[in-house]
Amino acid sequence: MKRLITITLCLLAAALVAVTAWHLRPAPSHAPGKLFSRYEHQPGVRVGFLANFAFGDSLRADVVTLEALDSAGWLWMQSEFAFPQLDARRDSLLATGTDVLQTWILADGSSVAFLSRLDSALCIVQTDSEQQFEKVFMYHLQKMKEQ
Amino acid sequence: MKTTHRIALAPSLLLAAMAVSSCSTWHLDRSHSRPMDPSRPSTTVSIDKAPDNHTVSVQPSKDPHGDIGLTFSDNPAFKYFVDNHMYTDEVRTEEDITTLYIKILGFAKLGRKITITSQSKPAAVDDNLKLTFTSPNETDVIAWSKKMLHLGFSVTIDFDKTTRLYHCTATKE
Repeated sequence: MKRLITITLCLLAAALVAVTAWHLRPAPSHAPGKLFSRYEHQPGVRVGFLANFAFGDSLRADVVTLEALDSAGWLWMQSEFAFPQLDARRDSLLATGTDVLQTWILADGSSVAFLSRLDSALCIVQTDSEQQFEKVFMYHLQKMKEQ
Repeated sequence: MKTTHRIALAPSLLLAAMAVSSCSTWHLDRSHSRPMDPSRPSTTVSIDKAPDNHTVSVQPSKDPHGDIGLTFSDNPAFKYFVDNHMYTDEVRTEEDITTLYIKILGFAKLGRKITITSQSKPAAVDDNLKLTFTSPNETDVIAWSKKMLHLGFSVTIDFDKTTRLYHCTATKE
């Protein structure tokens, strides 16, 4: 009986420690970060920062978006982020109003770019986890499917 | 002149292994790209390359699914070694690729050690490498794209509303 009480008390103490640690964990920083600061005054480009943006029902992530406002802005984005080339078939698709999604890992190695060609918009997501990456990707695929 | 071949997944992966020479080690794991089936073993293609002589060793996939195409810029001849005995085949047509694949896969299934050497210029092949993947399933698309991104490719995707298929292309520029 005494042993059972000891085990119960230990379990309760462990649970208390876990709950305390959960509440004391560092809050996620939603500061726009270096990427936003670097590009926010770039001419021809609208730069946005979406703190805690909801991708579907179960995922929220901080996202930097860049949208070209004119052809100069688009050209700058193309060279700055080394947009992958489009083949002739996809060029034709764009001409008929069908979107083409492109994705690649940025030079910093920790961010993934998702480019919607039809919207001339680039979405950059820090990939903290595989699950987060997959959900952001799924969001873009569903968006393209439903357009 | 560019040559495009659209063939089944396993031979394409095999040929991609021959064509690509920028990574020292590759692991392409398709085990998460489809709904899990406990009765089916996962399919893995592992490629190890010696950096100085552009040689790859291949364990071909035994469970091919899907459809992958491969584009390369010339008509390379391939050397391959079966248990250290050298063979050379020229690959000029889609039939050549299929024949080469069947031969190599046959040896691999017998448990023989297969080593393949591409005689074409590795940099030129690398520059023009293009892999395609088609699937109706978002999970498959994401899994395939993730592998390609980690291998340094960029991925382009469009959705065909008629066939309800995602068409994906991985390119290395």
